[in-house]
Amino acid sequence: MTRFVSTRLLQMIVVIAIMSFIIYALIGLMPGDPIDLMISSNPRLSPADALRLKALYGLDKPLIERYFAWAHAALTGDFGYSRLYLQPVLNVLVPRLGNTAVLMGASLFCAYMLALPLGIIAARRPGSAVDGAVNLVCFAGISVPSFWLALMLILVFAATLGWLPAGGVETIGDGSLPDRLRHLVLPVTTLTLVSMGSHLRYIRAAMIETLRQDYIRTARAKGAGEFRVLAGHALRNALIPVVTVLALSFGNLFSGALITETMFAYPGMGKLIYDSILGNDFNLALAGLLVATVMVLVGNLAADIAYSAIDPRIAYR
Amino acid sequence: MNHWRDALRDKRVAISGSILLIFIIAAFGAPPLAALFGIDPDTVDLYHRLAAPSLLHPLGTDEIGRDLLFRLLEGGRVSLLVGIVAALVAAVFGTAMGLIAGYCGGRLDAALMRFTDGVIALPLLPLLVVLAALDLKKLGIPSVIIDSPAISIERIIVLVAIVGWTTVARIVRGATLSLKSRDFVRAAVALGASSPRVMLVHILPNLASPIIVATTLAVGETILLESVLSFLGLGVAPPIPSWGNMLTTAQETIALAPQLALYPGLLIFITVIACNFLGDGLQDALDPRAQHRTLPVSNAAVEKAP
Repeated sequence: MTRFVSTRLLQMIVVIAIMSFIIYALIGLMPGDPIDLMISSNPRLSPADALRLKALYGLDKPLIERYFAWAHAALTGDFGYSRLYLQPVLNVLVPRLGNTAVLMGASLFCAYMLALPLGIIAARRPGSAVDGAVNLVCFAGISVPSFWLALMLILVFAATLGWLPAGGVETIGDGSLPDRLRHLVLPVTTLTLVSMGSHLRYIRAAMIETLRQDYIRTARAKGAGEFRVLAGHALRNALIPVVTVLALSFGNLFSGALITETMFAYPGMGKLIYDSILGNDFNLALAGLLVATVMVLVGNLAADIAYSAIDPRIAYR
Repeated sequence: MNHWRDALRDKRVAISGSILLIFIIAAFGAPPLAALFGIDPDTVDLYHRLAAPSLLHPLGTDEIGRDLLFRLLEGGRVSLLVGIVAALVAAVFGTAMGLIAGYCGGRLDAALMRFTDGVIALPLLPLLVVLAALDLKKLGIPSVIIDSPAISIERIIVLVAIVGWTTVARIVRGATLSLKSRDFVRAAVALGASSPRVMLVHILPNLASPIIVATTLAVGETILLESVLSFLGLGVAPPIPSWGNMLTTAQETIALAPQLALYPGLLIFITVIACNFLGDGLQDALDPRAQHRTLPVSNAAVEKAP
């Protein structure tokens, strides 16, 4: 187990190194460059000054050399300065991480609270009308464009009915918990509805498979109640494949958060990355993308470890 | 070919297939129809902005007085075209990956599948936003291509295909693995057929149904992704309409004219759900013994987009 985790950790570090180089190279290919931006804000700079600035910031060096200089600084916790927020990148990034964690955690919780009972009810009688209805819910969740769903929710609940705020995290001047929770309702609903579908399908499929097993029949024959059979015997085993999906959904959830956060002006990581890319804030975009990638990879690893913890049949070498 | 008759008997296939067919015919038949009625969908009529539905404009007009119905059909033509072409590009690449990985096995298989899993696990949308914002001049692409009006369409096709191929690769690899051990393949190998020949002549034709299923699912995925990126202003660029970028402008007038925001999104929703139901139904009908069912992953890939 220790060996498995350490091998995986090592692999992860290699993947992060490769991804950071790819992201670094991609950011360099975006329109404009930092010196042009400086020149545009100060018309008195001459071309000679521009060249000197380029040399000063090391922008005349080859890509690989610049990458190593950046990586060296990044390893010491120095991700540079954000052009948009006029603060060190980490100071901007860290509070946003917390906001995204709240949004993603709440959505994941709601998605499972809905998907578990629905998946179990559908799996009890595959092919029945209930199963068909649940299937429709699945497909609707998988297929709905999230930005449009967000737009419609804002239109109905914020613009027309006026029940809930259309965006942000809190009303200015009011930072109380109920106020913050009210701001979370629509973003969490959006993210829950779009992410629920795939979880629901996997739970249903895994439950159908498990309910066919002999030990379920044994449990029934011994007179166990329906709830005990479903929750105690079947669900525990059905959850094993579901954990894998949970891991894979981490990246997806993050992408979903980008749209949801942008639509609801929710200051999380996704919106930060989007804003920094459109706003030519290279340092911030770079760090944001890297943090997102690392989060996803760590999520995957955590799920792999959880997988073996739940299922004793799986031994990692 | 009996499978195909079974497929048509499946309610999901019949209904979603007809919906998609109607959408495709309507969208691609719109330009000649507009010419026939003497309507120019691009005519700006500022005196009749956001008009209510009338005989002349069945769904009313948009924020600068263009006929909404024809705009929707035009946008649909672009969205469907991008989705289908991107899915086909993704299908070709994914099939090659899946076929080689499944047939060659061993280390190559492990490497290719690790790569595929890696792509699936990445936070794809943020990365796509970066790719969509790249300066094509810095990539050394000639300015003749960059300045052409269709560049936003070509670019979005490449971008969404980058995401779509993984579904196809996994399905094709699975099918290849089970075909590889069948007698007719082993007979071909025993007769001395080269690996490329076995793959292309003996295995590939038998992959037709999984590839069709995977491509159908990929169309839903690519249409959803295109709409998100176009909505964010990083995909199909105005004045070319697509369902995604129509929603960007609709967002600004949403208080005045909510219907402008309702229709394009509803059409995306119906199209994507129809693709997913069609793919799912075809999978049941064409490959009833499929052990590892592939689930549509549209939002899972965007959110899964989304």
